[in-house]
Amino acid sequence: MSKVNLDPYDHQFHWDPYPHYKAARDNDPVYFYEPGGFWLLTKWEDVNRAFRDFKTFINTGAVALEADANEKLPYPMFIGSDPPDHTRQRKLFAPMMTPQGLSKIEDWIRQKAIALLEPHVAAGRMDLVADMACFLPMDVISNMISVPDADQDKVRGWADDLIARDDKQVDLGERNVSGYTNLAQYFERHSALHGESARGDDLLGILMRAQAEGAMSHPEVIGAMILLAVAGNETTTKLIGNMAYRLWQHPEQRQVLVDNPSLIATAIEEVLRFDGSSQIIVRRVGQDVEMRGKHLKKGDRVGLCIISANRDEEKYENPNTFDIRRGSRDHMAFGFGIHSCLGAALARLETRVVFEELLKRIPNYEIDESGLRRAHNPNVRGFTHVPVTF
Amino acid sequence: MVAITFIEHDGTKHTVDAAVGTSLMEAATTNMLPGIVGMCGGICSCATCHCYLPESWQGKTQPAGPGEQSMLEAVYEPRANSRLGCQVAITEAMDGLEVLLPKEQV
Repeated sequence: MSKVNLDPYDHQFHWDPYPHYKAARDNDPVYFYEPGGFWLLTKWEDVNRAFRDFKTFINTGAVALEADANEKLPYPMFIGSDPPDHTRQRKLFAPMMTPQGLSKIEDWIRQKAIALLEPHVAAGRMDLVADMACFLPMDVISNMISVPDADQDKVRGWADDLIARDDKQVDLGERNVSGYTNLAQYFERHSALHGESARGDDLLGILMRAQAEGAMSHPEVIGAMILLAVAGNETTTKLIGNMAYRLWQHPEQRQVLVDNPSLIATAIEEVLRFDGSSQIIVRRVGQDVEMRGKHLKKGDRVGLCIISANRDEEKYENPNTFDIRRGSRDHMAFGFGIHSCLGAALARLETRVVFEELLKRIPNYEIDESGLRRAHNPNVRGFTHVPVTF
Repeated sequence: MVAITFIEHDGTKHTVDAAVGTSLMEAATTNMLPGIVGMCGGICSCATCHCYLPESWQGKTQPAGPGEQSMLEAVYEPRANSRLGCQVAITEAMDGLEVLLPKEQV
């Protein structure tokens, strides 16, 4: 077993975790990560089972990998609940998060994306994440919950604080807790400001109405807002960065998209499979279970390594080949089943619009690899800086 | 609660108690029934909760909206009575409903 060394808290690991995941799939697919005291599942079949068997692999108490997360991050998020409680809350948001429900904001997203890109076109250089991708998802979420423009930078900064990990930092640190506290305090003020008035059909209206009618408790509403600020923001930013990077690595495939923008949606599915921005999804063991000879006990924490599952050679032919025409429909980049990412259609929409506008303007961008920088977190994986010239 | 019966392609029947207000997809997946996947969790994005609603029950549900109709173009063996389970909300009037499932979902 000495060949396997999975360490989602090791900064170096984030640059190219795929060979390590392959070694784990081949040699020790149900891996116990000693420093953090949790399991890591790496095979598609095992991860898929954990997603589907929601009574054995539960979400209650599984907000993060860290053992102290429930004490340090106390607001209940519906992502950390199970049916029927989970179903009740998720249902409030699902209708507006369908492709049809989101279609009315596509033009708005497009104008925002164009406004972020245009000022840089003449300069011949920009940072695709720091100048664009970090702003757009926060702008979209802010618009949905009425966070004013002037507050967006600090809300995004707190979300960054919450996820940032020092090298090999296995426990939640002061910066993480302070980011969380700042977000919670901000959204407490925000909900006090809008609690009596917001009743529209946007996300804020849905939350405030749910609170007023008792469909959600006040802490659940705050938890949902924190979740939006993190999940709706960090992962889409990183997905856009990962796509920019992979298309640059495969210029002939990038050219196919320049020539046929209608293929961008299919290409996004391959980026999600090949290099999704969510590395690990968390569960707790709800009842003792044996997997591949390992005994997982009730209460154990489990990380579902979806970026490993999506490269499983038993599931995908040539899994390490990036092919924008592959069109796999069963990757688990957004999870799978009842807890599957509620914002998946929004992430797809934002990413599609960005690349439609980006490739129209700067089809042949070159990445300066020496300037690439990463966010470091066990769950979210992607760049903070992708400097390009064109 | 109302009783909903899901019938697999091979005729195997599964009857579950479902809460009014939940969807047919949720009734199936929260009971971990075979034959329905529900990959996207109900945001009308994956077309893996495809089912056939008997004609006699069609008047008891809201018709498919444009988003659902567009996703139904991608399912295996679509029929005139095809629906996505995630878009069919369960009502009191559906007690006793029998839902047929297709041979494949993906």
